Amino acid sequence: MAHPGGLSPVSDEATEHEAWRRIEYWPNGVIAVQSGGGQAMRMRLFDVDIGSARARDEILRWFDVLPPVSQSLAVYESAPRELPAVDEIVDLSQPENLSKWLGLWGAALATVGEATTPLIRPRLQGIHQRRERMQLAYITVAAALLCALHYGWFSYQLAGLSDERAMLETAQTDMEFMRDSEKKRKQQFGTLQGEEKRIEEESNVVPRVIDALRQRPAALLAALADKPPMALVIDRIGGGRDNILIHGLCRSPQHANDLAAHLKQRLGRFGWSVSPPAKQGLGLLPEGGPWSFDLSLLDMGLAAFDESDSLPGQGDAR
Amino acid sequence: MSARREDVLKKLMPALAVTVFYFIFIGNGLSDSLSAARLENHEIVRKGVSPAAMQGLEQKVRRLDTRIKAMESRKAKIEEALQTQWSVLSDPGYANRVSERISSLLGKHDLRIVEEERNDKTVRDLMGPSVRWIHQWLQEGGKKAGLTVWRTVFRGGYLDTLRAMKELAEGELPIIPLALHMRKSDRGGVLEWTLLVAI
Repeated sequence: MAHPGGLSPVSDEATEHEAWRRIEYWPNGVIAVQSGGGQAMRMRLFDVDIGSARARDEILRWFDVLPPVSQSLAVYESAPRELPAVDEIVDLSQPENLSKWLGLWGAALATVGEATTPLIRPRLQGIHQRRERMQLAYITVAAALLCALHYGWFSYQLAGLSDERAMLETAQTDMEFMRDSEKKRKQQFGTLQGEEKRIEEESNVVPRVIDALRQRPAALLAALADKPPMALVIDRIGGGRDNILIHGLCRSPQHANDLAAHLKQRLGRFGWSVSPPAKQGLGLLPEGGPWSFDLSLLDMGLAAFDESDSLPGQGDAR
Repeated sequence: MSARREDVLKKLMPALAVTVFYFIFIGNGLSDSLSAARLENHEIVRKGVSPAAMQGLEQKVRRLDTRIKAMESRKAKIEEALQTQWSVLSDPGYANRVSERISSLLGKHDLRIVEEERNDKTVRDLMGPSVRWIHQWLQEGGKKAGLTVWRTVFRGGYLDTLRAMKELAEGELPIIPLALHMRKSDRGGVLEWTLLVAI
């Protein structure tokens, strides 16, 4: 299809003897036409945005190099922002103007070949395409920018989380070290507490135990000396590392048992355990006596002192 | 109208392609990484890890250090007092003093010494469990003291020996009797006594 722009004179007043010019603002380009006054028809397509100041300036520059005209006309459907000064305006948004223009266009098409009307190919489509390409590029770049913005924001957050992670890991390592230190110190403190308690207890107990041990021989001899009256003779005191062995003779086996009970009562506080006496009848008397006996005092160790209600450390057995 | 919609769609298509490509191949991965990082940090925090908690832990450790030092100081003082208390056992002249003390005591009570000797080699063999524990206690904890065994054989009466033993128990020197054995002497009815003491 031919473009409806760049027609021959469309004004009734335009004749071949009067020079005229016309500026047509189409949605996809600007066409300037000058003719009449004995001149050949001049036409130019402006490859610019139709509403821009640049378009207006270029149009004016082009007309400057041409002879002056007596009539000028601007045609548009929607008014451009920058419009050169013209004598007349034809607004194609008005139905009567549009009908008239299309009529002229039809007439021009009918007379094509008579060289009065240029047939304008849709070269102006290039301008439109370029603008669309620009719009497409803008939208694409905008989308890319949005993506980049998204990437940047997420990367920023990721970097922040990475820093936070590093800080938490450092804190975790430090806390593990401190907790380990705390645990070791608690163990050390508990050990020291136990040792201190033990030393304090032993410091109190040991002198009393030593005092009791020092009294053992005297307590034993005293207990044997003040035994209840009974027919009993202590013949020998001996023993080994852990015990004292008392050997003697008695008229009755009961006497040995009585002695054991007596010693148990008197010497229990000194850490000794009195074992039941071993007895043997000698058969010299009618009832089987006299009887030989062995009585053992076993050293029960420190526990025997601990279990005593009161250690005989204050001279109460003397 | 449809041509206009088509134009709009054509213009939006590359932008949509870029956006879809980005979100499929980059954005999703980034989002997953972010979620994973948040979850990992949350897991660490959930374990109670916090830089703010460090200060409290440090204070606790410092307090424990202070208490440990105070306790070590108290323990050292107790051990020093014990060492001073039992330092007499480490005195080189201590054995002689014990020997003199026993001799004078026995003599005072008409008890005649027959034999007297120091018996170091069998010190642990001659001690009962109570004295063994004392012996060990004296050797540990910086007291640096120990017990040796002194053996005295003497002859004399029962009551004299009883009196001598009572007096021995009351003396200032820490002489610990290990055993007192009695038997009849080969020489008639005189009693022979063997006294083992830890000194």
